[in-house]
Amino acid sequence: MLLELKNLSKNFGKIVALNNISFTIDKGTIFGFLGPSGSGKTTTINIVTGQLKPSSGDSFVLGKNSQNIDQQIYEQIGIVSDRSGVYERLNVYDNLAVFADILRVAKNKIDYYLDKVGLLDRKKQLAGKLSKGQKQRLVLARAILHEPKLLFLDEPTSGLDPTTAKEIHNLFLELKNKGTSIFLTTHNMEEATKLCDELALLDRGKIVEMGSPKEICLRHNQDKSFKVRTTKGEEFELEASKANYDKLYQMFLNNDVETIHSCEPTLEDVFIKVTGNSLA
Amino acid sequence: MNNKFLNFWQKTFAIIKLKAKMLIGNTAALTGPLMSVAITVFMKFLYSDMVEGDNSPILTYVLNFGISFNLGLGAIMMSALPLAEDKEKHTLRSLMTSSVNGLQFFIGSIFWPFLVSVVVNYIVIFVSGVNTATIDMAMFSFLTIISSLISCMLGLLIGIIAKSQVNANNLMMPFIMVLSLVPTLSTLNDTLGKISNFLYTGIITNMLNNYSEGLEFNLSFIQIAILLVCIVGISAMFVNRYKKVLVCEA
Repeated sequence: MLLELKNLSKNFGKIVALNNISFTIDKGTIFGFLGPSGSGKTTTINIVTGQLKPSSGDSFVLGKNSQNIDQQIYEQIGIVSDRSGVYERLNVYDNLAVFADILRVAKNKIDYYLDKVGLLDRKKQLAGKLSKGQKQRLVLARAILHEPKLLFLDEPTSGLDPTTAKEIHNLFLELKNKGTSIFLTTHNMEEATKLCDELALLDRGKIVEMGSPKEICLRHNQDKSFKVRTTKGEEFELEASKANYDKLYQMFLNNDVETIHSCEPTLEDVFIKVTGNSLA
Repeated sequence: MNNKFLNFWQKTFAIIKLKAKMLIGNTAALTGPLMSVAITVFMKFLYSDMVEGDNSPILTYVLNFGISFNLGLGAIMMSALPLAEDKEKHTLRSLMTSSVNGLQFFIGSIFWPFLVSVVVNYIVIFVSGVNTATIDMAMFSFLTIISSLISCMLGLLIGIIAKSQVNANNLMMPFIMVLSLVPTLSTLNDTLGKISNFLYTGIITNMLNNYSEGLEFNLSFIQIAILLVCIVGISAMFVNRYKKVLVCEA
């Protein structure tokens, strides 16, 4: 396993930021941390990347305790967070060239990754002149430049327009297929559902649910029901019962059904059900 | 081992290259060394009526002014401001989490300010018009190089302690006042003279005063101790602060 957290806790004074968190991430998987702002997502990334000391518990990155991460480990991971800065007086290309030199990456890869994050046409532009979203993409390009084994992404698509976010999602999936593991924090339910192989729902520093997005949703699919739209345009919800199955059967025979969908809960529904709070 | 050595210097050179680009664009940081040269020219012009030949003590005083400003202002500004900017813009953290260690960052960051500072020390000699035959150039070179190193290290320490460039400017001010002004005014006041004896910039003033009177200058045990304490103390404090920048509590 590439990342392991064992009973990790963090307190800031009397505030409990993380409460006994444990999970593991294997090679080539995307693990998501889904939770609202202030739930402990960034704190987790900061601890596991050696930027913050835990109050108790341990975390291991590529087999090494996070509190003793050395240069060799940093060479094999990538980090995108709100604490990642860019050299504003250097152009986009030079920003990556610095890190290509440090991480011994061939310079021809710079254009490849700039293209991947949609910044190739801005390679000569000063980084300080980029928009917030463009800077975020530049930080992402820098984090993946050396094709790390493990990538830490803290809200990587927040503030990006939907088209760019979609392209970035495809890039994450491409990296995953190449064997990179990704630890992703987000409060975006759709992003988590689309990308994550495994997911933990985080509320006030505590994991309240864990599993694949589908597993989590099905685990909470107790009020099984179907949403039906008839050929006459009527829409209604049917609870799963023998009587309603018979009714549906008759409707199919009469060719009255235009569309039918199962109504399992979304991750947001699950989160609200489990915590009483919304993800926003 | 060989690979580790290459890896170390490859990263260090990457930082040196980066810092060259960043320093060229940082007009605030370059103001210090330029001001040192400018102030030497100005002082020489101011005292031009009092200069009698190239052995005049006034020229040594002008040289001392330039050197003190270069060490107390220029070198500190050149080192402190870019590092404070790195902290403010979170680029220092990006370097740290990209496998750059403290020593690589230290060497990479100090290289250009140190080089510029040493070069300015020699430029100031020629601008001041002092007859170099009256100066023991070996001792002058040794002391100014060591002092440039200490000033740059002090600048890096201020830069890494500061939260922003504005904060760095505020933190620098007392050091600039003490390190530049106390030695240059030491001949006017006994107390300032005594304080100056314990400053590394003051040692240079003592050396130049000796040369202006046609005397020799040799480093005393206390003066060697002052230089060593500055180098070791500032290095230790820098390494300690570098580690704290990455692992913070907030």
